[in-house]
Amino acid sequence: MIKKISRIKNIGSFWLFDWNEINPDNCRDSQGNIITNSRGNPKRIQHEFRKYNILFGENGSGKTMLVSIFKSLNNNNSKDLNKHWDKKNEDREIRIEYNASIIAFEENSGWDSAILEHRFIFFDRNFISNYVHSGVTGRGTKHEQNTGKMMVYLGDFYDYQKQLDRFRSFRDFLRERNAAFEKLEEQKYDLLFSSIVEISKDDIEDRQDMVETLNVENREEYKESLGNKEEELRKLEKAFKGQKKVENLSSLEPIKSPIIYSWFNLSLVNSLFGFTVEGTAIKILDKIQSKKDFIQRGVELIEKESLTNCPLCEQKIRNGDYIEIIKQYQQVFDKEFNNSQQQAKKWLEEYKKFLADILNISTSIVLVNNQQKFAEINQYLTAEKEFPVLDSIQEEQNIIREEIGIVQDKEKRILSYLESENLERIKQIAEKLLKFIDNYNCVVQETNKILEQYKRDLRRGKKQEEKEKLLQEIKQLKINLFIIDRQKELLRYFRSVKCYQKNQGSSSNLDKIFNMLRKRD
Amino acid sequence: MDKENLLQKVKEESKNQEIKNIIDVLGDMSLSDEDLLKSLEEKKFISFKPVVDYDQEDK
Repeated sequence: MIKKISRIKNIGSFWLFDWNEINPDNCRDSQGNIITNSRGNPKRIQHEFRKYNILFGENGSGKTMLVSIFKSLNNNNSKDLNKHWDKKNEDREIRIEYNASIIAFEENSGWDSAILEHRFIFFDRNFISNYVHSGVTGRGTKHEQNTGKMMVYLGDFYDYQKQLDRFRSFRDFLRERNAAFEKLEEQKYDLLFSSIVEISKDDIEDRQDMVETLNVENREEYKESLGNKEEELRKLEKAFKGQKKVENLSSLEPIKSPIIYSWFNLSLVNSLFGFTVEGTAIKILDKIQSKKDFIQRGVELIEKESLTNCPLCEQKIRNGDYIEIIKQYQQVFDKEFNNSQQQAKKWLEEYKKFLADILNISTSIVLVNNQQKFAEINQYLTAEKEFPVLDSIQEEQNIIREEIGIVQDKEKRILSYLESENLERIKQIAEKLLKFIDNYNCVVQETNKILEQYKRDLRRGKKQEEKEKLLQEIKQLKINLFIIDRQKELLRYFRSVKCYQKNQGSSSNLDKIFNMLRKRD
Repeated sequence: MDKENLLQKVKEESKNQEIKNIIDVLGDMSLSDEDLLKSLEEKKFISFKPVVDYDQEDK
Protein backbone atom coordinates (compact mmCIF):
# COMPACT_ATOMS: atom_id res chain seq x y z
CA MET A 1 0.00 0.00 0.00
CA ILE A 2 1.28 3.48 -0.81
CA LYS A 3 2.02 5.29 2.42
CA LYS A 4 3.05 8.66 1.13
CA ILE A 5 4.42 10.56 -1.81
CA SER A 6 7.57 11.75 -0.09
CA ARG A 7 8.96 14.00 -2.79
CA ILE A 8 7.92 15.50 -6.09
CA LYS A 9 10.41 17.64 -7.95
CA ASN A 10 9.72 19.58 -11.14
CA ILE A 11 6.49 17.78 -12.07
CA GLY A 12 3.53 19.87 -13.19
CA SER A 13 2.69 22.50 -10.63
CA PHE A 14 5.03 20.85 -8.11
CA TRP A 15 8.28 22.72 -8.17
CA LEU A 16 9.55 21.05 -5.07
CA PHE A 17 7.11 19.14 -2.88
CA ASP A 18 8.25 17.53 0.37
CA TRP A 19 5.60 15.49 2.25
CA ASN A 20 7.33 15.65 5.64
CA GLU A 21 7.88 19.39 5.50
CA ILE A 22 4.17 20.13 5.19
CA ASN A 23 2.99 17.23 7.32
CA PRO A 24 4.62 17.52 10.82
CA ASP A 25 4.70 14.41 12.99
CA ASN A 26 3.35 16.11 16.13
CA CYS A 27 0.14 17.93 16.89
CA ARG A 28 0.62 21.58 17.91
CA ASP A 29 -1.74 24.10 19.45
CA SER A 30 -2.46 27.55 18.08
CA GLN A 31 0.63 28.88 19.83
CA GLY A 32 2.81 26.23 18.29
CA ASN A 33 3.25 24.10 21.40
CA ILE A 34 3.36 20.31 21.03
CA ILE A 35 0.21 18.67 22.31
CA THR A 36 0.75 15.63 24.52
CA ASN A 37 -1.49 12.77 25.48
CA SER A 38 -2.56 11.73 28.96
CA ARG A 39 0.70 9.95 29.43
CA GLY A 40 2.66 13.06 28.53
CA ASN A 41 3.85 11.73 25.24
CA PRO A 42 3.55 13.99 22.16
CA LYS A 43 0.36 13.38 20.27
CA ARG A 44 1.38 12.00 16.85
CA ILE A 45 -0.34 12.97 13.64
CA GLN A 46 -1.31 10.13 11.28
CA HIS A 47 -0.35 11.65 7.90
CA GLU A 48 0.04 8.65 5.66
CA PHE A 49 -2.51 7.53 3.10
CA ARG A 50 -5.27 5.34 4.42
CA LYS A 51 -7.71 2.99 2.71
CA TYR A 52 -9.94 5.90 1.72
CA ASN A 53 -8.39 9.31 1.03
CA ILE A 54 -9.75 12.57 -0.27
CA LEU A 55 -7.65 14.95 -2.33
CA PHE A 56 -8.94 18.45 -2.56
CA GLY A 57 -7.47 21.79 -3.49
CA GLU A 58 -7.82 24.85 -5.68
CA ASN A 59 -7.56 24.68 -9.43
CA GLY A 60 -3.94 24.30 -10.48
CA SER A 61 -2.85 23.05 -7.09
CA GLY A 62 -1.79 19.64 -8.55
CA LYS A 63 -4.68 17.19 -7.99
CA THR A 64 -4.66 15.95 -11.55
CA MET A 65 -0.87 15.74 -11.53
CA LEU A 66 -1.03 13.40 -8.54
CA VAL A 67 -3.38 11.18 -10.56
CA SER A 68 -0.90 11.43 -13.44
CA ILE A 69 1.83 10.13 -11.14
CA PHE A 70 -0.36 7.13 -10.28
CA LYS A 71 -1.00 6.58 -13.99
CA SER A 72 2.72 6.78 -14.59
CA LEU A 73 3.20 4.06 -11.99
CA ASN A 74 0.39 2.00 -13.50
CA ASN A 75 1.80 2.26 -17.01
CA ASN A 76 5.43 2.22 -15.90
CA ASN A 77 6.33 5.17 -18.10
CA SER A 78 6.74 8.92 -17.85
CA LYS A 79 4.24 9.92 -20.51
CA ASP A 80 2.00 11.85 -18.15
CA LEU A 81 4.77 13.46 -16.11
CA ASN A 82 5.12 16.94 -17.57
CA LYS A 83 7.85 19.22 -16.28
CA HIS A 84 7.13 22.48 -14.43
CA TRP A 85 6.51 25.38 -16.81
CA ASP A 86 9.51 27.32 -15.49
CA LYS A 87 11.89 24.36 -15.05
CA LYS A 88 12.00 22.80 -18.48
CA ASN A 89 15.76 22.28 -18.30
CA GLU A 90 15.82 20.71 -14.86
CA ASP A 91 15.47 17.03 -13.99
CA ARG A 92 12.35 15.48 -12.50
CA GLU A 93 12.26 13.32 -9.43
CA ILE A 94 9.60 11.43 -7.47
CA ARG A 95 9.89 9.28 -4.36
CA ILE A 96 7.04 7.15 -3.06
CA GLU A 97 6.88 5.13 0.12
CA TYR A 98 5.32 1.76 -0.67
CA ASN A 99 4.94 -0.59 2.29
CA ALA A 100 8.46 -0.74 3.72
CA SER A 101 10.26 0.25 0.55
CA ILE A 102 10.82 3.31 -1.63
CA ILE A 103 9.86 3.52 -5.26
CA ALA A 104 11.76 6.26 -7.04
CA PHE A 105 11.53 8.00 -10.40
CA GLU A 106 14.68 9.58 -11.84
CA GLU A 107 14.95 11.72 -14.98
CA ASN A 108 17.30 9.38 -16.79
CA SER A 109 16.24 5.95 -15.54
CA GLY A 110 12.46 6.33 -15.01
CA TRP A 111 10.76 4.27 -12.31
CA ASP A 112 13.09 1.92 -10.51
CA SER A 113 10.33 -0.62 -9.77
CA ALA A 114 7.37 -2.02 -11.70
CA ILE A 115 5.70 -3.38 -8.61
CA LEU A 116 2.73 -1.03 -9.04
CA GLU A 117 2.34 -1.58 -12.77
CA HIS A 118 -1.29 -2.39 -13.66
CA ARG A 119 -2.34 -2.07 -10.02
CA PHE A 120 -4.61 0.97 -10.46
CA ILE A 121 -7.97 1.56 -11.95
CA PHE A 122 -8.91 5.15 -12.71
CA PHE A 123 -12.49 6.27 -12.66
CA ASP A 124 -11.62 9.49 -14.39
CA ARG A 125 -12.64 11.33 -17.53
CA ASN A 126 -10.87 8.78 -19.71
CA PHE A 127 -12.65 5.92 -17.99
CA ILE A 128 -16.00 7.60 -18.56
CA SER A 129 -15.05 8.27 -22.15
CA ASN A 130 -13.90 4.70 -22.76
CA TYR A 131 -16.49 2.76 -20.84
CA VAL A 132 -19.49 4.98 -20.25
CA HIS A 133 -19.55 7.57 -23.02
CA SER A 134 -18.14 6.09 -26.19
CA GLY A 135 -19.40 5.12 -29.57
CA VAL A 136 -22.54 6.81 -30.89
CA THR A 137 -23.29 10.39 -29.83
CA GLY A 138 -26.37 10.48 -27.62
CA ARG A 139 -29.47 12.52 -28.32
CA GLY A 140 -29.37 15.98 -26.76
CA THR A 141 -25.90 15.49 -25.37
CA LYS A 142 -22.40 15.95 -26.61
CA HIS A 143 -21.29 12.70 -25.00
CA GLU A 144 -21.04 9.49 -26.86
CA GLN A 145 -22.79 6.63 -25.17
CA ASN A 146 -21.96 2.99 -24.98
CA THR A 147 -22.91 1.85 -21.54
CA GLY A 148 -22.64 -1.77 -22.64
CA LYS A 149 -18.93 -1.53 -22.16
CA MET A 150 -19.04 -0.21 -18.59
CA MET A 151 -17.36 -2.50 -16.12
CA VAL A 152 -16.69 -1.95 -12.43
CA TYR A 153 -14.58 -4.37 -10.58
CA LEU A 154 -14.00 -4.97 -6.93
CA GLY A 155 -11.25 -6.96 -5.32
CA ASP A 156 -8.16 -8.14 -7.25
CA PHE A 157 -9.56 -6.86 -10.47
CA TYR A 158 -6.49 -6.76 -12.61
CA ASP A 159 -6.43 -10.40 -13.68
CA TYR A 160 -10.14 -10.41 -14.26
CA GLN A 161 -9.99 -7.24 -16.25
CA LYS A 162 -7.11 -8.51 -18.30
CA GLN A 163 -8.98 -11.68 -19.16
CA LEU A 164 -12.18 -9.82 -19.91
CA ASP A 165 -10.29 -7.28 -21.97
CA ARG A 166 -8.64 -10.08 -23.90
CA PHE A 167 -11.96 -11.75 -24.50
CA ARG A 168 -13.67 -8.53 -25.45
CA SER A 169 -10.80 -7.60 -27.70
CA PHE A 170 -11.11 -10.88 -29.59
CA ARG A 171 -14.89 -10.61 -29.76
CA ASP A 172 -14.55 -7.10 -31.25
CA PHE A 173 -11.85 -8.36 -33.61
CA LEU A 174 -14.19 -11.06 -34.88
CA ARG A 175 -17.04 -8.56 -35.23
CA GLU A 176 -14.87 -6.12 -37.15
CA ARG A 177 -13.48 -8.85 -39.37
CA ASN A 178 -16.96 -10.11 -40.11
CA ALA A 179 -18.25 -6.58 -40.79
CA ALA A 180 -15.31 -5.94 -43.14
CA PHE A 181 -15.96 -9.28 -44.84
CA GLU A 182 -19.62 -8.41 -45.34
CA LYS A 183 -18.77 -4.94 -46.61
CA LEU A 184 -16.27 -6.25 -49.14
CA GLU A 185 -18.66 -8.90 -50.43
CA GLU A 186 -21.46 -6.32 -50.64
CA GLN A 187 -19.19 -4.03 -52.65
CA LYS A 188 -18.40 -6.85 -55.07
CA TYR A 189 -22.12 -7.64 -55.27
CA ASP A 190 -22.99 -3.98 -55.94
CA LEU A 191 -20.45 -3.90 -58.76
CA LEU A 192 -22.37 -6.66 -60.55
CA PHE A 193 -25.29 -4.27 -60.91
CA SER A 194 -23.34 -1.09 -61.60
CA SER A 195 -23.50 -1.33 -65.38
CA ILE A 196 -27.11 -2.53 -65.57
CA VAL A 197 -30.06 -0.26 -65.02
CA GLU A 198 -32.90 -2.67 -65.69
CA ILE A 199 -31.99 -5.26 -63.08
CA SER A 200 -31.69 -4.47 -59.41
CA LYS A 201 -30.61 -6.42 -56.38
CA ASP A 202 -34.29 -6.85 -55.47
CA ASP A 203 -34.83 -8.80 -58.69
CA ILE A 204 -32.18 -11.31 -57.69
CA GLU A 205 -32.81 -11.40 -53.94
CA ASP A 206 -35.81 -13.75 -54.13
CA ARG A 207 -34.39 -15.83 -56.97
CA GLN A 208 -31.63 -17.60 -55.11
CA ASP A 209 -32.96 -20.99 -56.19
CA MET A 210 -32.78 -19.89 -59.79
CA VAL A 211 -29.16 -18.79 -59.34
CA GLU A 212 -28.40 -22.28 -58.10
CA THR A 213 -30.20 -24.13 -60.86
CA LEU A 214 -30.10 -22.09 -64.09
CA ASN A 215 -28.26 -24.02 -66.78
CA VAL A 216 -25.67 -22.12 -68.79
CA GLU A 217 -26.42 -24.36 -71.77
CA ASN A 218 -29.77 -22.58 -72.15
CA ARG A 219 -28.10 -19.21 -72.65
CA GLU A 220 -28.49 -19.11 -76.45
CA GLU A 221 -32.11 -20.20 -76.18
CA TYR A 222 -32.84 -17.36 -73.72
CA LYS A 223 -30.97 -14.90 -75.89
CA GLU A 224 -32.89 -15.85 -79.01
CA SER A 225 -36.17 -15.77 -77.14
CA LEU A 226 -35.31 -12.34 -75.74
CA GLY A 227 -34.55 -11.03 -79.25
CA ASN A 228 -37.91 -12.31 -80.49
CA LYS A 229 -39.84 -10.87 -77.57
CA GLU A 230 -38.16 -7.49 -77.90
CA GLU A 231 -38.98 -7.46 -81.60
CA GLU A 232 -42.57 -8.35 -80.76
CA LEU A 233 -42.71 -5.51 -78.24
CA ARG A 234 -41.26 -3.08 -80.76
CA LYS A 235 -43.97 -4.06 -83.25
CA LEU A 236 -46.66 -3.80 -80.61
CA GLU A 237 -45.57 -0.30 -79.66
CA LYS A 238 -45.55 0.64 -83.33
CA ALA A 239 -49.11 -0.70 -83.60
CA PHE A 240 -50.22 1.44 -80.66
CA LYS A 241 -48.82 4.50 -82.37
CA GLY A 242 -50.26 3.64 -85.79
CA GLN A 243 -53.56 1.98 -84.89
CA LYS A 244 -55.28 3.41 -87.98
CA LYS A 245 -52.66 1.94 -90.26
CA VAL A 246 -53.19 -1.46 -88.69
CA GLU A 247 -56.95 -1.18 -89.27
CA ASN A 248 -56.28 -0.50 -92.94
CA LEU A 249 -54.02 -3.50 -93.46
CA SER A 250 -55.39 -5.69 -96.27
CA SER A 251 -55.89 -9.41 -96.01
CA LEU A 252 -53.79 -11.73 -98.14
CA GLU A 253 -55.30 -13.45 -101.20
CA PRO A 254 -55.09 -17.18 -101.75
CA ILE A 255 -53.73 -18.48 -105.05
CA LYS A 256 -56.72 -18.99 -107.34
CA SER A 257 -54.79 -19.92 -110.40
CA PRO A 258 -56.74 -21.77 -113.13
CA ILE A 259 -54.20 -24.44 -112.55
CA ILE A 260 -56.22 -25.59 -109.57
CA TYR A 261 -59.43 -25.94 -111.56
CA SER A 262 -57.95 -27.28 -114.75
CA TRP A 263 -55.34 -29.56 -113.34
CA PHE A 264 -54.29 -31.62 -116.31
CA ASN A 265 -54.48 -35.39 -116.26
CA LEU A 266 -50.88 -36.18 -117.08
CA SER A 267 -51.60 -39.81 -117.84
CA LEU A 268 -53.07 -38.59 -121.14
CA VAL A 269 -49.87 -37.02 -122.36
CA ASN A 270 -48.33 -40.14 -123.88
CA SER A 271 -51.48 -40.98 -125.88
CA LEU A 272 -51.71 -37.37 -126.97
CA PHE A 273 -48.23 -37.31 -128.42
CA GLY A 274 -48.92 -40.75 -129.95
CA PHE A 275 -52.10 -39.60 -131.78
CA THR A 276 -51.90 -40.80 -135.46
CA VAL A 277 -54.31 -42.03 -138.23
CA GLU A 278 -53.14 -45.56 -137.76
CA GLY A 279 -53.54 -45.43 -134.00
CA THR A 280 -57.02 -43.94 -134.34
CA ALA A 281 -58.08 -46.48 -136.99
CA ILE A 282 -57.06 -49.35 -134.78
CA LYS A 283 -59.10 -47.88 -131.99
CA ILE A 284 -62.14 -47.53 -134.24
CA LEU A 285 -61.73 -51.06 -135.58
CA ASP A 286 -61.54 -52.21 -131.99
CA LYS A 287 -64.77 -50.36 -131.36
CA ILE A 288 -66.60 -52.08 -134.22
CA GLN A 289 -64.96 -55.49 -133.68
CA SER A 290 -68.11 -56.87 -132.09
CA LYS A 291 -70.16 -55.75 -135.09
CA LYS A 292 -67.92 -57.56 -137.59
CA ASP A 293 -69.63 -60.97 -137.29
CA PHE A 294 -73.02 -59.32 -137.33
CA ILE A 295 -72.23 -57.59 -140.60
CA GLN A 296 -70.68 -60.69 -142.27
CA ARG A 297 -73.68 -62.82 -141.22
CA GLY A 298 -76.08 -60.22 -142.61
CA VAL A 299 -74.32 -60.17 -146.02
CA GLU A 300 -74.30 -63.98 -146.16
CA LEU A 301 -78.02 -64.09 -145.33
CA ILE A 302 -78.81 -61.66 -148.09
CA GLU A 303 -76.72 -63.57 -150.64
CA LYS A 304 -77.66 -67.14 -149.73
CA GLU A 305 -81.32 -66.72 -148.84
CA SER A 306 -81.88 -64.31 -151.78
CA LEU A 307 -83.70 -62.03 -149.47
CA THR A 308 -85.56 -59.27 -151.24
CA ASN A 309 -86.27 -57.33 -148.09
CA CYS A 310 -83.94 -56.47 -145.21
CA PRO A 311 -84.87 -58.65 -142.18
CA LEU A 312 -84.23 -55.68 -139.90
CA CYS A 313 -85.79 -52.65 -141.58
CA GLU A 314 -87.94 -54.63 -144.09
CA GLN A 315 -86.94 -52.26 -146.89
CA LYS A 316 -86.35 -53.55 -150.34
CA ILE A 317 -82.79 -54.74 -151.02
CA ARG A 318 -81.37 -53.60 -154.25
CA ASN A 319 -78.14 -54.39 -156.05
CA GLY A 320 -75.41 -52.07 -154.88
CA ASP A 321 -76.85 -51.71 -151.45
CA TYR A 322 -73.66 -53.37 -150.05
CA ILE A 323 -71.66 -50.41 -151.25
CA GLU A 324 -73.94 -48.22 -149.21
CA ILE A 325 -73.21 -50.26 -146.08
CA ILE A 326 -69.48 -49.86 -146.69
CA LYS A 327 -69.99 -46.16 -147.18
CA GLN A 328 -71.85 -45.94 -143.97
CA TYR A 329 -68.97 -47.67 -142.21
CA GLN A 330 -66.60 -45.18 -143.82
CA GLN A 331 -68.70 -42.36 -142.43
CA VAL A 332 -68.62 -43.89 -139.00
CA PHE A 333 -64.79 -44.04 -139.17
CA ASP A 334 -64.46 -40.48 -140.43
CA LYS A 335 -66.68 -39.19 -137.68
CA GLU A 336 -64.81 -41.11 -134.94
CA PHE A 337 -61.44 -40.01 -136.30
CA ASN A 338 -62.51 -36.43 -136.47
CA ASN A 339 -63.79 -36.53 -132.91
CA SER A 340 -60.54 -38.07 -131.67
CA GLN A 341 -58.49 -35.48 -133.49
CA GLN A 342 -60.54 -32.63 -132.06
CA GLN A 343 -60.26 -34.11 -128.59
CA ALA A 344 -56.50 -34.47 -129.03
CA LYS A 345 -56.20 -30.85 -130.11
CA LYS A 346 -58.30 -29.72 -127.17
CA TRP A 347 -56.18 -31.67 -124.70
CA LEU A 348 -53.00 -30.40 -126.31
CA GLU A 349 -54.28 -26.88 -125.78
CA GLU A 350 -55.11 -27.63 -122.14
CA TYR A 351 -51.76 -29.30 -121.56
CA LYS A 352 -49.98 -26.29 -123.03
CA LYS A 353 -51.95 -23.96 -120.78
CA PHE A 354 -51.20 -26.13 -117.80
CA LEU A 355 -47.48 -25.97 -118.60
CA ALA A 356 -47.63 -22.21 -119.11
CA ASP A 357 -49.37 -21.80 -115.74
CA ILE A 358 -46.62 -23.75 -114.00
CA LEU A 359 -44.04 -21.58 -115.69
CA ASN A 360 -45.80 -18.35 -114.79
CA ILE A 361 -46.95 -19.08 -111.27
CA SER A 362 -43.75 -17.72 -109.68
CA THR A 363 -44.40 -14.34 -111.29
CA SER A 364 -48.14 -14.37 -110.54
CA ILE A 365 -49.57 -11.00 -109.53
CA VAL A 366 -51.19 -12.62 -106.45
CA LEU A 367 -47.81 -13.70 -105.17
CA VAL A 368 -46.30 -10.29 -105.79
CA ASN A 369 -49.20 -8.47 -104.09
CA ASN A 370 -49.24 -10.83 -101.14
CA GLN A 371 -45.51 -10.44 -100.67
CA GLN A 372 -45.96 -6.69 -100.34
CA LYS A 373 -48.99 -7.01 -98.04
CA PHE A 374 -47.21 -9.51 -95.86
CA ALA A 375 -44.25 -7.15 -95.46
CA GLU A 376 -46.65 -4.44 -94.25
CA ILE A 377 -48.42 -6.83 -91.83
CA ASN A 378 -45.06 -8.02 -90.57
CA GLN A 379 -44.29 -4.52 -89.34
CA TYR A 380 -46.91 -4.97 -86.64
CA LEU A 381 -47.27 -8.65 -85.96
CA THR A 382 -45.22 -11.76 -86.33
CA ALA A 383 -46.86 -14.64 -88.16
CA GLU A 384 -46.28 -18.04 -86.65
CA LYS A 385 -45.22 -19.52 -89.98
CA GLU A 386 -42.76 -18.15 -92.44
CA PHE A 387 -44.33 -16.84 -95.60
CA PRO A 388 -43.71 -19.39 -98.38
CA VAL A 389 -41.63 -18.33 -101.35
CA LEU A 390 -41.67 -20.34 -104.55
CA ASP A 391 -38.18 -21.25 -105.57
CA SER A 392 -38.57 -22.24 -109.18
CA ILE A 393 -35.20 -23.33 -110.38
CA GLN A 394 -33.85 -22.70 -113.86
CA GLU A 395 -33.58 -26.40 -114.74
CA GLU A 396 -37.31 -26.88 -114.05
CA GLN A 397 -38.21 -23.87 -116.14
CA ASN A 398 -36.08 -25.18 -119.02
CA ILE A 399 -37.85 -28.54 -118.92
CA ILE A 400 -41.27 -26.91 -119.01
CA ARG A 401 -40.24 -24.66 -121.90
CA GLU A 402 -38.96 -27.67 -123.82
CA GLU A 403 -42.24 -29.49 -123.15
CA ILE A 404 -44.25 -26.53 -124.39
CA GLY A 405 -42.12 -26.66 -127.55
CA ILE A 406 -43.03 -30.32 -128.07
CA VAL A 407 -46.74 -29.57 -127.56
CA GLN A 408 -46.60 -26.75 -130.10
CA ASP A 409 -44.82 -29.05 -132.54
CA LYS A 410 -47.51 -31.70 -132.07
CA GLU A 411 -50.23 -29.11 -132.61
CA LYS A 412 -48.67 -28.25 -135.96
CA ARG A 413 -48.20 -31.87 -136.98
CA ILE A 414 -51.13 -33.48 -135.25
CA LEU A 415 -50.90 -36.79 -137.09
CA SER A 416 -47.13 -37.20 -136.55
CA TYR A 417 -46.02 -39.49 -133.81
CA LEU A 418 -44.02 -37.66 -131.12
CA GLU A 419 -42.53 -38.68 -127.77
CA SER A 420 -41.58 -36.70 -124.65
CA GLU A 421 -38.91 -37.77 -122.15
CA ASN A 422 -39.92 -35.00 -119.77
CA LEU A 423 -43.15 -36.48 -118.44
CA GLU A 424 -41.72 -37.85 -115.16
CA ARG A 425 -40.00 -34.57 -114.37
CA ILE A 426 -43.13 -32.63 -115.31
CA LYS A 427 -45.07 -34.79 -112.84
CA GLN A 428 -42.51 -34.07 -110.10
CA ILE A 429 -42.55 -30.34 -110.79
CA ALA A 430 -46.34 -30.34 -110.79
CA GLU A 431 -46.46 -32.24 -107.49
CA LYS A 432 -44.04 -29.78 -105.93
CA LEU A 433 -46.15 -26.88 -107.15
CA LEU A 434 -49.32 -28.41 -105.80
CA LYS A 435 -47.74 -28.78 -102.37
CA PHE A 436 -46.53 -25.21 -102.50
CA ILE A 437 -49.99 -23.91 -103.33
CA ASP A 438 -51.54 -25.92 -100.49
CA ASN A 439 -49.02 -24.61 -98.01
CA TYR A 440 -49.22 -21.09 -99.37
CA ASN A 441 -52.98 -20.88 -99.10
CA CYS A 442 -52.82 -22.38 -95.63
CA VAL A 443 -50.40 -19.65 -94.49
CA VAL A 444 -52.52 -17.01 -96.17
CA GLN A 445 -55.57 -18.25 -94.31
CA GLU A 446 -53.76 -18.34 -90.96
CA THR A 447 -52.18 -14.93 -91.44
CA ASN A 448 -55.55 -13.40 -92.31
CA LYS A 449 -57.05 -14.96 -89.21
CA ILE A 450 -54.24 -13.61 -87.01
CA LEU A 451 -54.50 -10.18 -88.62
CA GLU A 452 -58.23 -9.94 -87.95
CA GLN A 453 -57.79 -11.12 -84.38
CA TYR A 454 -54.96 -8.59 -83.94
CA LYS A 455 -57.20 -5.76 -85.14
CA ARG A 456 -59.98 -6.84 -82.78
CA ASP A 457 -57.59 -7.13 -79.81
CA LEU A 458 -56.12 -3.73 -80.57
CA ARG A 459 -59.59 -2.17 -80.61
CA ARG A 460 -60.62 -3.90 -77.37
CA GLY A 461 -57.44 -3.01 -75.45
CA LYS A 462 -56.30 -6.60 -75.16
CA LYS A 463 -52.99 -5.70 -76.72
CA GLN A 464 -52.20 -3.52 -73.71
CA GLU A 465 -52.49 -6.60 -71.47
CA GLU A 466 -50.33 -8.46 -73.94
CA LYS A 467 -47.74 -5.71 -73.74
CA GLU A 468 -47.63 -5.96 -69.93
CA LYS A 469 -47.16 -9.70 -70.18
CA LEU A 470 -44.48 -9.24 -72.81
CA LEU A 471 -42.62 -6.76 -70.62
CA GLN A 472 -42.64 -9.26 -67.76
CA GLU A 473 -41.37 -12.03 -70.01
CA ILE A 474 -38.60 -9.79 -71.34
CA LYS A 475 -37.62 -8.84 -67.81
CA GLN A 476 -37.51 -12.49 -66.78
CA LEU A 477 -35.36 -13.42 -69.78
CA LYS A 478 -32.98 -10.55 -69.01
CA ILE A 479 -32.76 -11.73 -65.42
CA ASN A 480 -32.02 -15.26 -66.64
CA LEU A 481 -29.21 -14.00 -68.86
CA PHE A 482 -27.92 -11.73 -66.08
CA ILE A 483 -27.81 -14.69 -63.72
CA ILE A 484 -26.16 -17.01 -66.25
CA ASP A 485 -23.51 -14.43 -67.13
CA ARG A 486 -22.70 -13.80 -63.44
CA GLN A 487 -23.68 -17.11 -61.89
CA LYS A 488 -20.34 -17.70 -60.19
CA GLU A 489 -20.21 -14.24 -58.63
CA LEU A 490 -23.83 -14.39 -57.50
CA LEU A 491 -23.33 -17.80 -55.95
CA ARG A 492 -20.27 -16.45 -54.18
CA TYR A 493 -22.33 -13.58 -52.77
CA PHE A 494 -25.09 -15.84 -51.47
CA ARG A 495 -22.47 -18.09 -49.91
CA SER A 496 -20.87 -15.04 -48.33
CA VAL A 497 -24.20 -14.06 -46.78
CA LYS A 498 -24.43 -17.53 -45.26
CA CYS A 499 -20.85 -17.21 -43.98
CA TYR A 500 -21.63 -13.80 -42.52
CA GLN A 501 -24.72 -15.12 -40.75
CA LYS A 502 -22.82 -18.10 -39.46
CA ASN A 503 -20.07 -15.80 -38.16
CA GLN A 504 -22.70 -13.59 -36.54
CA GLY A 505 -24.01 -16.65 -34.75
CA SER A 506 -20.57 -17.44 -33.39
CA SER A 507 -20.09 -13.79 -32.49
CA SER A 508 -23.35 -13.94 -30.50
CA ASN A 509 -22.03 -16.97 -28.69
CA LEU A 510 -18.91 -14.98 -27.81
CA ASP A 511 -21.21 -12.28 -26.41
CA LYS A 512 -22.95 -14.86 -24.27
CA ILE A 513 -19.62 -16.16 -22.99
CA PHE A 514 -18.51 -12.60 -22.30
CA ASN A 515 -21.65 -11.86 -20.30
CA MET A 516 -21.21 -15.05 -18.34
CA LEU A 517 -17.60 -14.10 -17.61
CA ARG A 518 -18.74 -10.74 -16.31
CA LYS A 519 -21.35 -12.32 -14.08
CA ARG A 520 -18.84 -14.77 -12.70
CA ASP A 521 -16.45 -11.96 -12.03
CA MET B 1 -9.71 -17.23 -9.47
CA ASP B 2 -7.13 -17.43 -12.24
CA LYS B 3 -7.71 -16.78 -15.92
CA GLU B 4 -8.11 -20.41 -16.92
CA ASN B 5 -10.58 -21.13 -14.18
CA LEU B 6 -12.82 -18.23 -15.16
CA LEU B 7 -13.43 -19.56 -18.72
CA GLN B 8 -13.52 -23.13 -17.49
CA LYS B 9 -16.15 -22.23 -14.91
CA VAL B 10 -18.26 -20.64 -17.63
CA LYS B 11 -17.86 -23.78 -19.70
CA GLU B 12 -18.91 -25.96 -16.78
CA GLU B 13 -21.94 -23.83 -15.99
CA SER B 14 -23.15 -23.40 -19.56
CA LYS B 15 -25.78 -25.80 -20.90
CA ASN B 16 -25.13 -24.72 -24.45
CA GLN B 17 -22.96 -27.31 -26.17
CA GLU B 18 -21.81 -24.92 -28.90
CA ILE B 19 -20.58 -22.48 -26.26
CA LYS B 20 -18.68 -25.30 -24.58
CA ASN B 21 -17.14 -26.22 -27.93
CA ILE B 22 -16.14 -22.62 -28.66
CA ILE B 23 -14.46 -22.30 -25.25
CA ASP B 24 -12.57 -25.50 -26.01
CA VAL B 25 -11.30 -23.98 -29.26
CA LEU B 26 -10.38 -20.66 -27.61
CA GLY B 27 -8.45 -22.44 -24.87
CA ASP B 28 -6.79 -19.95 -22.57
CA MET B 29 -6.86 -17.31 -25.31
CA SER B 30 -3.12 -17.03 -25.28
CA LEU B 31 -3.01 -17.23 -29.10
CA SER B 32 -3.10 -14.09 -31.22
CA ASP B 33 -6.42 -12.84 -32.63
CA GLU B 34 -5.50 -14.15 -36.08
CA ASP B 35 -4.62 -17.58 -34.71
CA LEU B 36 -7.80 -17.76 -32.64
CA LEU B 37 -9.75 -16.83 -35.76
CA LYS B 38 -7.97 -19.56 -37.69
CA SER B 39 -8.80 -22.09 -34.98
CA LEU B 40 -12.49 -21.18 -35.06
CA GLU B 41 -12.41 -21.38 -38.85
CA GLU B 42 -10.76 -24.80 -38.79
CA LYS B 43 -13.49 -26.05 -36.48
CA LYS B 44 -16.16 -24.54 -38.76
CA PHE B 45 -17.52 -22.07 -36.23
CA ILE B 46 -16.83 -19.27 -38.65
CA SER B 47 -15.93 -18.91 -42.31
CA PHE B 48 -14.67 -16.21 -44.61
CA LYS B 49 -14.50 -18.41 -47.68
CA PRO B 50 -17.70 -18.07 -49.69
CA VAL B 51 -16.84 -20.73 -52.26
CA VAL B 52 -18.84 -23.66 -53.52
CA ASP B 53 -16.25 -26.16 -52.35
CA TYR B 54 -16.41 -24.78 -48.87
CA ASP B 55 -20.15 -25.23 -48.69
CA GLN B 56 -19.86 -28.75 -49.94
CA GLU B 57 -17.36 -29.48 -47.22
CA ASP B 58 -19.58 -27.75 -44.74
CA LYS B 59 -22.51 -30.01 -45.59
